[in-house]
Amino acid sequence: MAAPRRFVLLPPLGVRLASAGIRLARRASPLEHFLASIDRPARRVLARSGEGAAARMQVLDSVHADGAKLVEMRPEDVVGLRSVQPGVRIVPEVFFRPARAPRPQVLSVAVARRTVTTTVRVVSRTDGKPVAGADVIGFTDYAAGEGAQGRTDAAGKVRLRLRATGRKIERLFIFPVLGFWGALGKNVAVKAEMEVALRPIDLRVPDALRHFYGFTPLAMGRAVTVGIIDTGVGDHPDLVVEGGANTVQGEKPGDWRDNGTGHGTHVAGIVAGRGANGRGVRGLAPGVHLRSYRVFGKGDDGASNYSILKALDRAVEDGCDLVNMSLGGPDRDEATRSAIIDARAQGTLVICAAGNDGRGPVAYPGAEQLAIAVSAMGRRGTFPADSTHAAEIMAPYGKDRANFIAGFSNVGPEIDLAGPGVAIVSAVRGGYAAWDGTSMACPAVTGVAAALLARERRALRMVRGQARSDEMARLVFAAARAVGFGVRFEGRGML
Amino acid sequence: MIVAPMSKKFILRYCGKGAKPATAVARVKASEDVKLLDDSSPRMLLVEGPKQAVEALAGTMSDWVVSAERTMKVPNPRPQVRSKRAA
Repeated sequence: MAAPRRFVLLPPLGVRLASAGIRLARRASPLEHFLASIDRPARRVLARSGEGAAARMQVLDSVHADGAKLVEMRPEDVVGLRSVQPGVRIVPEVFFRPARAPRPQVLSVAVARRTVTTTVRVVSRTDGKPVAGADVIGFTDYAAGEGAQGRTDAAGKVRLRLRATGRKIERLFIFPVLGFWGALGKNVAVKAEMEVALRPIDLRVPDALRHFYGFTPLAMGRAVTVGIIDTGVGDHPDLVVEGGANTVQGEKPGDWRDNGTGHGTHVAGIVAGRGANGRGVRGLAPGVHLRSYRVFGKGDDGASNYSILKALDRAVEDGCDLVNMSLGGPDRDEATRSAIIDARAQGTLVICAAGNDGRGPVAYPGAEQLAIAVSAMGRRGTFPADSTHAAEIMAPYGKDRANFIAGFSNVGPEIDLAGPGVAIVSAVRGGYAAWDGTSMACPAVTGVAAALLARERRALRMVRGQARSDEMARLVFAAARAVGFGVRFEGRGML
Repeated sequence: MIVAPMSKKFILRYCGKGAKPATAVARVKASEDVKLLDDSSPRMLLVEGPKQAVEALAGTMSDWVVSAERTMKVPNPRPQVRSKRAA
């Protein structure tokens, strides 16, 4: 069991509810009641929710009855407290130290003089036809990231120039655009020409999403509005988008369709795909009112935080109950924090991807206290064992040993929930593709949360305000079940 | 030679109640050092100018926070070649 640490408990904004401009109602809100209940130092305090979540803490100090508290808690109790009091900010106590200059590090890798060239031909396993546009990445030293990469031409071919030492490709990854499972080869002998045959995706076979949640009815999620802040959504026959906005500076405000990368379309399919069983993809809440907010420009792989915040404000204004943000960066910023606080204050829940830096710290805005941060898990047997997805199988494993936290997933104390994010089949322009990422785990949580809120209804009926988003968060956290990865990896667990 | 401080884009976000006050927008418009780029959002402004000038301006307006404009990406889980070997 991890040792207890000190944390400061704060209202959503400022250090006191009253000074934050939050009008104290005649009848105390759950957050106000909670803060008042721990106004004095106490050795053992147990906070409980009606849904069974609990958190133990020691109260060390209090600024005011409705203000900041200094407490000591274990990491598992931090997760528990987020469920009991979703509106409270839990900030680790920090100590400032003199800034020492970092030590110099070796960053360059020795350049090899001898090289060998190989042509990789990628074909379909079904009919032997060439697969064009596939990304082929060969590593001669996987740990050092040394190798070569390219994209297949119309004949399905790509030439790679590799370091000659060893004459082996330690890892060979093939990522097709759509329609096929990717392929992974280990310690492949380098030949002048090699052929790799890809297995087509069979939509009748359940992926991890369908394994855990089954095939959902079309009405699931009705009454809930979900906003996707991403690269845009559609067009795709499985998706019905009710509207949205493009907040990219200099682009048409009405063009919320996909910017060509397919990312937002894939994300939207996980939440709200309406495809027929075996012939398309069915999302986890196909009945939701789906809205698209495009924040990535045409051909851009980065989105301005200004565009993102404008989109978030707009989604809240448009009545979105849940906002999915499968994006992030390393740096915190006050404007983003303020926008998420505003969204929660107006009754909207923001769900964010934890990021894919391979056990790195949770990316921002997922790391923001009032956002729900989602890590990615996978399940053996829901993808071919020789596919690229197999590279993500890594400890920790769950109580069911077939489940694992994806190797790429970021983890940390800010993780709230885990969702399926390995080999998830969803919509892309022109068909279907199996992708990995916390980008996929995030909409899995959004979809199940939408289905849950539509079923329960009591939170949706509340007046749009902080209490509404707190209640939605409480319901979502209460529905989560720990699956054995530990709180740093799964937070409260899986929905 | 006088070197002008580097101009960058910044977000000014209003944290008070309701929509951003018109007086604050007017103050930004009147600034000689800070250029207003976008005021179409109800609670934000996108401005351009030297960091010190933007922060000084924001310091004169209560309930506003400043953040540099930066980019966020969709997380990419694919392995990357870090050092391409040279011929």
